Amino acid sequence: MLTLMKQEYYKAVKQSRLYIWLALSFIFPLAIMAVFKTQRSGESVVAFGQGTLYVFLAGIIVTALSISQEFGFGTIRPLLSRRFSRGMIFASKLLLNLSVYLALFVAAFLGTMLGKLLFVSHFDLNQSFNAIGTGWQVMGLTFIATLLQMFFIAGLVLLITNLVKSSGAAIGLGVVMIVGTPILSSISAMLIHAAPILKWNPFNIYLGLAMLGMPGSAYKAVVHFSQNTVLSAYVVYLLMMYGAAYLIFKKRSV
Amino acid sequence: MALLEVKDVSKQYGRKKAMDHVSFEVAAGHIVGLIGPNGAGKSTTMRAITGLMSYSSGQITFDGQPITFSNHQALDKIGNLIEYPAIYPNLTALEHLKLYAMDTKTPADFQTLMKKTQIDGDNFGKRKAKQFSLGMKQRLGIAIALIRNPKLVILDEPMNGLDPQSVHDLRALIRELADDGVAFLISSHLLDELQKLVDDVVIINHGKIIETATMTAFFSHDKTRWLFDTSDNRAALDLAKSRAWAATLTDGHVEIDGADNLQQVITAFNDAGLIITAIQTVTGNLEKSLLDMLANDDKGE
Repeated sequence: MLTLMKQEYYKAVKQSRLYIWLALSFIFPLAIMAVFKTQRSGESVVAFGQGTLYVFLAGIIVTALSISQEFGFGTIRPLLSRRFSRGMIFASKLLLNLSVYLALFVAAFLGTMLGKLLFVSHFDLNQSFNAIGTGWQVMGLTFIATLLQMFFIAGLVLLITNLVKSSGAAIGLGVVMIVGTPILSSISAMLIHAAPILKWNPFNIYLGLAMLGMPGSAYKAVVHFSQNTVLSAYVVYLLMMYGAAYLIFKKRSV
Repeated sequence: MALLEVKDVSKQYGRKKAMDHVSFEVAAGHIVGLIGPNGAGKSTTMRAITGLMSYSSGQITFDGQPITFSNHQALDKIGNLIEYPAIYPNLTALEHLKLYAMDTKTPADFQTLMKKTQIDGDNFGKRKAKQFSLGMKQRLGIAIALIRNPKLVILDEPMNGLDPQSVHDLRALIRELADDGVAFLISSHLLDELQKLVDDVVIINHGKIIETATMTAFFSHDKTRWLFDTSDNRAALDLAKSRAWAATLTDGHVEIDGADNLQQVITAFNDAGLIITAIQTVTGNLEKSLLDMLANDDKGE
């Protein structure tokens, strides 16, 4: 497993694309705060200068390419015709993706901190920010909620990529899931209105993740579940999506 | 003892039999040519051996260890180049070798391998693989197949895109490694090249093995033929036929393949006053033999 990880990291660090993504992740919050005066606020800082949107998009692309690229380059055969099991190879891809997500967050965090220093220096992250807690705590929650949402979308993207062996469709769907929240929200509301059991639909669970941290009663009114139930359903969906993606990857003849 | 054993392996796609009870062996130090027409099952067989594809029945073992779709620990000592080289566009040749060498504790020496596979020149250097020509990628693909010091190397169309000098050098490298005990399973449509290289042949058609033999045995049924140019080829042809030798006029030459020995033919021509201007010996030809064999196999179906 260590060898596989070493190989995955080696391939990743040799791609100039990775550095571009990281640089953009750093620049994005900085640029947002520099360009938009309305974003020079504590709200913007705890939201990583809206850099989470960029991190999300880049993470989805990384996920989609992690396997489809091996098919595209024709490197999938040597990757699979080795002593390692497909489970280990799949896991090494997931771990690399996770590492890239975290690196993107670190870059966005550094960009945000520089932006804060330059444009929102008066804002103190140690001070109580809202009902949740200090600026640091809210920022931490934003990080966790975004990461949980990324895992969710990444699972879906990985599943689609494995089904169609191409990243295009998967990236498209991922982008819709990220930027089309109002559409998803409407679809989910319609489904639940049609049949209350459909409150378990994945869109609703996904939307519930974005609202984690909201006061309990308000949360329940919107999502129709408690936060713990959403988290449990999230884990089940995650297992289903990653499990299905793995099974397709495992069974595929190349 | 055979290093690779393929025993009675079958694979079916719907109604089509991609592998139909395929059996053959590859011994250490042997170069085996897997030949057949397009769609005969060569790549499918190679993919089954490298664990890339499941098979419905039979058994594949390497060095006594089984190889299946889900269990392929044995692949540690098998290098392969199947269909096209596995190249990451952003890596240099050396970086590719480093990447694939991470798999093993005993990789080949990079510099020596790069020299032997001719990926050490200025053309390679720090250039990324996306800038490589087809031939350069092919040579790198071969180097990748050899980097882990494999006991068996599986090469599918290894001469693709290579210039004549590179083909010659590749042949020499494969022979050198085979002499050191490395086994090779090679498929190629360049049968003349294959004929110069392989020790044994496995001929496959419609997913079925129709012949396995050493090269010597394969050609043993071919009598040596001669091409003659004489002062009167028409008279020479008539004379040959009158002696009941199988003779034809081929590309302006008199081709004789029914005589017992060359001296017998020369004497007959001299006695008839025919002046011989050129003699060419035609030995067994893999391409011709293969085509004859496939034609017979197709007739039999």
